[in-house]
Amino acid sequence: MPEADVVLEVRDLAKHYPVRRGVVLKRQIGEVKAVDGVSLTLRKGRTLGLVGESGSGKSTLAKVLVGVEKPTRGQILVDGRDVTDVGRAERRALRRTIQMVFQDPYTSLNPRMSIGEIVGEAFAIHPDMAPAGDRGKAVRELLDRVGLNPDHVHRYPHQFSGGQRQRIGIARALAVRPRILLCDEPVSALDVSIQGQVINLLEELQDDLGLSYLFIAHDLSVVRHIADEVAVMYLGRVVESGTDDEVYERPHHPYTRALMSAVPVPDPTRRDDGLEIMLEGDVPSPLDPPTGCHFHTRCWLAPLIEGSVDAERPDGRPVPAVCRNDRPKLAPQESPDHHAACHFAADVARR
Amino acid sequence: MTDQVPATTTPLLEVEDLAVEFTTPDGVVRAVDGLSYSVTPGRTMAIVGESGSGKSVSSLAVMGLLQMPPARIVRGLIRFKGEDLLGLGPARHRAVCGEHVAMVFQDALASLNPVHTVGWQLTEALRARRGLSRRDAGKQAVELLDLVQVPHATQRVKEYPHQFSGGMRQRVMIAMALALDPEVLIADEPTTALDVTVQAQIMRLLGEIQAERQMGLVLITHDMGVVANVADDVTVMYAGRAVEQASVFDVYAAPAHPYTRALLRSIPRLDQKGAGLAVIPGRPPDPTSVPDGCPFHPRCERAEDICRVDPPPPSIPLPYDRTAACHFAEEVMNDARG
Repeated sequence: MPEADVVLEVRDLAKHYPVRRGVVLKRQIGEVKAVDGVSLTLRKGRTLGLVGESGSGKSTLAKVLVGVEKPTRGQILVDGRDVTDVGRAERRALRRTIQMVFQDPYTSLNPRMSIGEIVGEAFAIHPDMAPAGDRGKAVRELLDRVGLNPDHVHRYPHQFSGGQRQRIGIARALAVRPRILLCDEPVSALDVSIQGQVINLLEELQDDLGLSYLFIAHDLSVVRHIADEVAVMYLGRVVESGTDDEVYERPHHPYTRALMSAVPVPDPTRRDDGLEIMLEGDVPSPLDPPTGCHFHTRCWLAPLIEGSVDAERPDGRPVPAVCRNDRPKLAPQESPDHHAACHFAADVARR
Repeated sequence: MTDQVPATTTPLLEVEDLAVEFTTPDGVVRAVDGLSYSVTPGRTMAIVGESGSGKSVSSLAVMGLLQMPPARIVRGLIRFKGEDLLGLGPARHRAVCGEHVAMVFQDALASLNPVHTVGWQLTEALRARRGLSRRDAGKQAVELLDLVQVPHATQRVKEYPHQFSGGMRQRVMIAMALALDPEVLIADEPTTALDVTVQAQIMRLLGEIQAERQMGLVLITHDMGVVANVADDVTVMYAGRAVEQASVFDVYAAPAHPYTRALLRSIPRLDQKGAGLAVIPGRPPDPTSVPDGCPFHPRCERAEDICRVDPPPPSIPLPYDRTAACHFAEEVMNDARG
């Protein structure tokens, strides 16, 4: 694919938070590497799904991308231009390119503003988007666009259901005609029958407006449905990325495999397929992540590698020294676009 | 979770034609309307529904935990081993449940007391009801945490809820529920707030404990994937009513209610990359104004004139010992069988 198609690129992005102790003399006693060297590429008209469990850093990444948090290191490129350290004016202009749709449609809308005001607020900040006289009309068009009744502009958020509120959130994001939407768990607060409606709306908008989505979710099935490319995060790092078929059908990282197998398949006749790889324990604390490969403490593959008697992990099972000592690089697998960060990626595919 | 238990086993818990109303400023809301189900030892009944379907209210009614008023049990029976709990009066009702029926809630952080150690909370019931000494209670707390596979139990009983991760907290909740060795466990969305890898661990743990103790399990959830994995029987709820009841295999193989069918079609699946998700149009009814006739008719693709006027009988019997509340249940089921 030609590089011209790339609308958003993230290079080695990191966000570290200092951890301080003490009241008066605040000593820094460590840092949380919430995002720890992440690289991503989003192409025009495509959807990049970002999956991971709590603590994987996916929401922090979103915050850095929209400029709410400053990155500790790395670059963000929009249309090939480095926007990591832009000033206020440019940051404002940038917001026209990237907009965000939030998870919780109950807390992300101001309860004291009518939906007309919520959606039209963007025009007050970016007056050239719609001439003053046409703003009412523009708002009504946006509401219609997302499947809401334009006559409801004077209603308040509490008069709408969760699914409708999420549509309001989408209309607000679309007001400045962005090209990139950053969707942070946009359907996880919704009932199943409503989720589908919102996902279908997002897909429709993408086709009609040529939008690019960075779609952050913990629900792997939803991401499978909507994404063209997928990146899997674990403790601040991308452990696998590729097209959605590559990642879902031929996972090359043991974490991806385990994650996929933990998703219950809605078919009772398949419950005894024996596909499930159990991961023991919780995700380790990002304050004190394991050395080497972050996943080695829970990895199901590491103890099975021959000759992995070098060291023991907390549960007493052996781990190859390389997993414990060296951070694995995101390396290309069978196809050049499919990357996995595992010293034994080939073994994952074989088993 | 197994089929080894003969079907003739007497039910532990029976709910019959339960109806619950709430008085609200907007009028009287019927949250549950004619729900019946039963649970036998070692089996799992899944109650499935979206928000507002009445699935949680019905379990609070079973436990005797509804605030009355504004809630009111309009009619129905709740029996534990044949004994009518509603006839006992609220205090005795709660006492029987406290002893034999336990409940696990979704939000473990909100359900645990932040100012007491986990060990203290685990054994509160044991000290109050069994009169255990501090020392014996302490030992029990460690055993309970061991049972739910919390590592370093001896240390962790001395810690506070905020020192536990989400998954570990939910294990503590389960341990607490098991303290008095209940015969029935009602789990209300026990894994909804958890990551999938942790969810898998918790569901497996629940299954093991259930099989070992031959508990009856009532699993309240919105997740059709979890249901497919652990349930024996399924009750699908919509607008306070049980719209379909059948064995888990029958429900997934051939749903007999259009709502169940639509729900199953609308789930995005990991093993299928489809184009365009099937969608249920509209949204669940506002409980203060449930549509006339069949409450699902405005969203139903099979609806005819009769559905707009006549509510379907609450449980139309179908082959294979299953029921559905739809005028066209038999046809819908046969369609699905192809």
